[in-house]
Amino acid sequence: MTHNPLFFRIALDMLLFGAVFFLPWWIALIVVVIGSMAWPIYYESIVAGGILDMLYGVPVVFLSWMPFPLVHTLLFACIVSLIVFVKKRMR
Amino acid sequence: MNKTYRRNEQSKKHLIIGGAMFASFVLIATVVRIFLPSLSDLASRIATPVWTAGEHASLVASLGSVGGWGGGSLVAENMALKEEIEALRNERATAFADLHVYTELVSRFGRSLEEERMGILAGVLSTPPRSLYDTIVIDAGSRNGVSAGMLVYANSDMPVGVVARVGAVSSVVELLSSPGRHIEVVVGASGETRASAEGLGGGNFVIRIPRDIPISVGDSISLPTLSSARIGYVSVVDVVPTDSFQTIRFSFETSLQDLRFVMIRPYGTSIFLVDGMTIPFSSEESSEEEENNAL
Repeated sequence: MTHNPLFFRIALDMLLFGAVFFLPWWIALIVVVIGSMAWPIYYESIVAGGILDMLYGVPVVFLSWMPFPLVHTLLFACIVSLIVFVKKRMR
Repeated sequence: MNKTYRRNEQSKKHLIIGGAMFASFVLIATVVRIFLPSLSDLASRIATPVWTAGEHASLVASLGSVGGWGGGSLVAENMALKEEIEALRNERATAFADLHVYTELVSRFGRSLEEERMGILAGVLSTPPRSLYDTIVIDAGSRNGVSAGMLVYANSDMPVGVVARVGAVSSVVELLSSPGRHIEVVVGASGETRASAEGLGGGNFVIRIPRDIPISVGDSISLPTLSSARIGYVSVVDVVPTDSFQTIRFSFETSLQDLRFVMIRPYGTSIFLVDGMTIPFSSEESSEEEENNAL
């Protein structure tokens, strides 16, 4: 991606992982949306979701079938997939 | 011809991307399942100094902002705080007198308040809404004697959650207000109305009880324990003429975002937990308690 320089991606990654540790979850979600719109696939979002689940996760009632709750990982993966799908359709 | 080729190429790409994402999710789920305890512990170990540094930074920033504001507001605040201290002193004197009587009464029935108050003090590393889970992370783990199922108290006597996951140096506490969880509470000061409160997340609860029971805004909500630990006040009462039930909403008395320290205790108030949360009391302990009570 020539029009999306690497430093912008690194800055966004720093913001994403900073949000994971210090900010409300929905800020991380906004960063994931921006990253997914800027690049074909924003892989870091899956890692960030995994970290959120590992740090704060406990078994949840509505996902009791899961061995370990992956709420954020699932959410971020769905958002990235949805944006990828929408972007392809809009071309 | 060219268009069909491109379409085929694109659908292939979509398939590859979808497959890669699905494969990565399955891989993550498998890795997490196999290495969960060590991964969580590793993540907590890495995160603990980061969180601690963040807490220090916010403390320094808040101290800086205190020095930066105008003197007039500080003088007014000082006066207000002095008045508040005076009022609290009077309140404390009354409370101590009541506590003395209460302690004596309780000790006559073979229970020690001091014993029940013992616990492990822990600092709070993260509070909601850092994640979608209604959890807090504390800086005490198995090394400090914390184990899953222990009860966590704010302000030393207000139960707020149960230890759900324990690492070596930190633990994750699931709040009583987790969505879908139920706890048993006593509504009103008289202690006659018992109800099941459902957690809504973020320290908020909802209760549905028959409309005929007189409940008003400001009534206390406490847990059915020996010390009747108050957890909040009724903030909203919704009564619909067509509904024979009334909906009561309340939240924790303490703001979860401002929590700095919590107390962890292994016993004392398990009776208020209705479902979902499991308290691993050993049968030996319960039989000992039963024996003591019988004696």
